[in-house]
Amino acid sequence: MRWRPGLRAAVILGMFLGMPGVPAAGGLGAESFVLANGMRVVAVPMERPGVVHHAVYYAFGAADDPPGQSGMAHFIEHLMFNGTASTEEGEYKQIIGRNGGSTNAYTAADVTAYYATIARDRLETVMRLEADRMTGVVFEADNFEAERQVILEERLQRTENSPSGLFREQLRAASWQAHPYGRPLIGWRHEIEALTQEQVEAYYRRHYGPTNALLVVAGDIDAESLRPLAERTFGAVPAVGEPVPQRPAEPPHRARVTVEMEDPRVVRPRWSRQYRAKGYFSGAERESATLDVLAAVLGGASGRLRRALVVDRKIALSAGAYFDGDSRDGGFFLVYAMPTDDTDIVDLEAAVNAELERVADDGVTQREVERAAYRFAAGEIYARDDVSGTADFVGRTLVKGGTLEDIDGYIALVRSITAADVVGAARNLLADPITITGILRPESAE
Amino acid sequence: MRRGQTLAAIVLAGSLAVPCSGAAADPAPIEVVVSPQGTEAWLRRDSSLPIVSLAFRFAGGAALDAPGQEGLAQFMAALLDEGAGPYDSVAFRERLDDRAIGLSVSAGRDSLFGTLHTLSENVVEAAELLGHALARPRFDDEPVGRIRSQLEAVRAQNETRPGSVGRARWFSLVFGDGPYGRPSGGTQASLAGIGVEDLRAAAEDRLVRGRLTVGAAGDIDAAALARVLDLAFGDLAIGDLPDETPENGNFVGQRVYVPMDIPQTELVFGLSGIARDDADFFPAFVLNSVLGGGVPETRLEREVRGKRGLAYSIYTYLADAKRAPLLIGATSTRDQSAGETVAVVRDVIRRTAAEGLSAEELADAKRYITGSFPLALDSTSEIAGFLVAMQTNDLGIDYLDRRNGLVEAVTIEEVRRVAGRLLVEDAMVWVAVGRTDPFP
Repeated sequence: MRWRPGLRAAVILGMFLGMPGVPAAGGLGAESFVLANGMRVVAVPMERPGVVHHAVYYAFGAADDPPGQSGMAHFIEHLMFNGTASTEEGEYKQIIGRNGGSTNAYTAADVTAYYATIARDRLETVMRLEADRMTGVVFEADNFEAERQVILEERLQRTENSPSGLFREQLRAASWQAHPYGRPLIGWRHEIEALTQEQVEAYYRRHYGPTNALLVVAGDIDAESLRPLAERTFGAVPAVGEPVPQRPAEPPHRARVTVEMEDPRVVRPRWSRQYRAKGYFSGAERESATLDVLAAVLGGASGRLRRALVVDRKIALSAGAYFDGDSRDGGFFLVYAMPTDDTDIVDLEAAVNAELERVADDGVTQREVERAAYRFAAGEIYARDDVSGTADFVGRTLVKGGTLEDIDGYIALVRSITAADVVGAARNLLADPITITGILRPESAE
Repeated sequence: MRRGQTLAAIVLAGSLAVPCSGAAADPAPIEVVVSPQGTEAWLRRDSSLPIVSLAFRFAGGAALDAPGQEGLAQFMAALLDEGAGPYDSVAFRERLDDRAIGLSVSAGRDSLFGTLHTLSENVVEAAELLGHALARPRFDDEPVGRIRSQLEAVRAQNETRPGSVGRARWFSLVFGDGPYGRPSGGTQASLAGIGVEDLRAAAEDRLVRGRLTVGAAGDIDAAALARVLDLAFGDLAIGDLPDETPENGNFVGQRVYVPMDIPQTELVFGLSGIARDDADFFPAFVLNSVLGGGVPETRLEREVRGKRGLAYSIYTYLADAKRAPLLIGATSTRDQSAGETVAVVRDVIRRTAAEGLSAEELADAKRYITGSFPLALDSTSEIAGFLVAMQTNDLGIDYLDRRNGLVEAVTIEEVRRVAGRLLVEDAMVWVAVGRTDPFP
């Protein structure tokens, strides 16, 4: 649970195919191979002499937690640092630290990731430790209960202590009727409290292993030198790891949903509206790229929503748009705004809608589309400056069913989106009446 | 600093440039670049990506805001990219976005810190825009009113956030009405009262070359950087250094409880710290790394989180504040555990003050601190920022080479001595924000 949202805007990799005036990063040059036990390995060579980022991705996340046992994957994430048959509690971090490395992990809905950044000549140390805890975690009662308390503190800190944290959780829960995306990644409090050591250990033994894992190493590395290291370490782990059960599918939504919450600690109201969208991993690459461009036209510092609502009409303190299209089973196109003191939510909503209609009716300019494409292409080059971000983007993409070719082709795809495509996307959104609206506001004075 | 025009860009490669073998491989030496108009920058060139990063710092931040004008530094900094030179706010943002140029300036307590991040093909345009922002900010009515509303919204929201409330109260307890004690984000009255003339005067007084430090990294050579420096900073007045008189913090063991109806109590604690140029800085740095900020599992993490499950996070850091260096820590724990957590932290501080570190802790910490240092400087923007810090703190151009040696040289006796000097447990100032008072 460490990764920031909005990954696509920050970390975009790919290959540009030769349009004038747009910077080109060239292909990623990543190479992939598979170990005898089924574990896939990817090397991403980057210009970072002496440094590597090492990350193992498991092909399941919080959305795969068993029914009634939300928080399972996140609980295991914590326990992964608490010792194996061959390392003491906390020793994993100590060994990495003594070698100058830094390490962490996160749990997302579709994937769980365990990573470290370390000097190239210490890479094998990390690989041995990571391979060891893939199947070797030791479960122990005192340790398990202490970690449960830490997790409950984490939940208090991230969610329960803040009205916006609680509201995010409520909005997420209301956005999915059957699919487990509706559950909090960290888990519901009562389910975290009820998880038993036996349940957690059984889940770990069943699913954690090479066949469910992907290794990405980025930086001062190539496939040829990575292969023998991977064979010596992860290659020695038996081919275990059952696939997780298929997730419940989301039925069509028939009703508009509005989620409203009041809290005395909220100072300004916040409004958002979500439109259901398929996303990159549901076979809708072109539609997704179009929504990325639409979000860039509407959102951001020079976007239409900020200009119209914040600068010109002065009815909002902030306004923007975002496409959440990186989830395996679909996502949302999102518009949001925070009203000024004397603005009614109804008027704010109408003003946001009017901007969407303006795109649908009057179109977008060539400059707006080009600006978006230029920024995505530049973002791809900026991302190459960041070894861990690059590794993470590759890992998340592949583990959700994307390919290295998808990554290398992304900028070309964005470049192919026309102003007419963007208009079509805005019309589709407006034609869908089944939206989810979120309103968080101060407790009224009465 | 000023040089004749004929010298153009003076690049002191050869004699002053020093290779920085502290980094993982063999990067280019740091070059000292002086522009025709006399602005100096340290540059580490790296052409592996077509990116240029500039970091810059003007000495003097929110602590310079006069009583009644709290928030002025933040207000002024937030307006620099909201219209400058020939461009109004919308046009300025469009110029940045058209070329994917990242420009930001923010106000800390002691400085205005900025970054410019661009593809090298746009570096001249980026420098021109930065030059407009610093020398010709417009402070048009629309953005001034809008940013005022936004700062007021942030200020009001922060009053409901336990972490912000706890920190603000802590600084006010320690520094009273002094420059560090007043709210750097402003008060409702001060934000309402700051006018365009105040903003303009703050920009003219504070954005001056006499207070400026610049670092650059990435795909740019010394001659091109010299031109960039003059485009970005050449139109600024020379000015002079701000008055940053040292402050005496009031550390007499105050423990203050602030009621707030939340399930998890926020705890802020701290003591006087150590200046960056103090002879004991490195022993103190190693000590703090083991105590609460740096090594993989600090003493506080082990006792509070690992052994007792009292918190998800607990940390301490040495705040290199110009007028009064500090050692500050924070954690949060469920309401019922706040008293126990305070007791555990106090016990760790007392024990560490008395015993210092074990030989094994010291050795492990040195290995972590020296090994992770080159890995941390892993992007052009981080390198540019570090080059600014090296200059600001007078570390010398060969610091990257010397730094790990300074860490290695720290002895267990030095750590014990500095622990006794810094960790005066009964002077420690505490603030708790939550449902119940944890202090006995």
